[in-house]
Amino acid sequence: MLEKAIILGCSAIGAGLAMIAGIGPGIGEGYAVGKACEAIGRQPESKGDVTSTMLLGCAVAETTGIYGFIVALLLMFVTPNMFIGKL
Amino acid sequence: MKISAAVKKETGHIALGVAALTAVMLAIFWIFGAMDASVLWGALLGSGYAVLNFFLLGITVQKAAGMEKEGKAKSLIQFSYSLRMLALFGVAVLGFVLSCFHWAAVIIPMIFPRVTILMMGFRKPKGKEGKAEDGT
Repeated sequence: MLEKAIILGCSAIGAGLAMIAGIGPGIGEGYAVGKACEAIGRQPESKGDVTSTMLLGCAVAETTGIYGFIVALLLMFVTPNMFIGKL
Repeated sequence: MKISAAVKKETGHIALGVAALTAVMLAIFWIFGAMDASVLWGALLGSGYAVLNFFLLGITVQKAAGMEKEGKAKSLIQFSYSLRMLALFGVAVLGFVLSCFHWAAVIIPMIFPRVTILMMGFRKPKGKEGKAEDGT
């Protein structure tokens, strides 16, 4: 019983730590969009190109957060069952 | 709000890439003998959300690009990111909790847009970048 609780607790802590990875993309995307607005303000004719590049850049940046999120989900739902099954 | 041509074009590229990679993933499931209805439903849910997430990002980026105040654009994209992550959490939990979805088939397509962008980068002709930098 105690081992089960320790495994579940450690998995939850690990999942929480993995979600720290979700903070960075939010800040990075915001910064990139801010700079893109500045660029469009300087050169309004390049709006299409800037939007397209920024869109792909934001998607790439966001993947880091998704990786962390997937690790957190695996720690929450998959790993505890694997270890508890071995007890 | 009118959706810009850039967003439509990139979403189309991503949708094609995600569809192709999902087909590869399903083939791998089939080769390993793990193919069943839950894998198909899971792949549909995962890849569908991956494309929808990119499309929503595109709409937000388009809206933010039209804003004059830098701070407002920043807040909008951060708010959108939070909401999309929350929706992703909902989709992933559905995939894990409901037995009609295979959890791996839901989770794996979430990283397909990144792989597609990587492949698009390899495919892009080198001359185009040089032209853009020269301004010609």
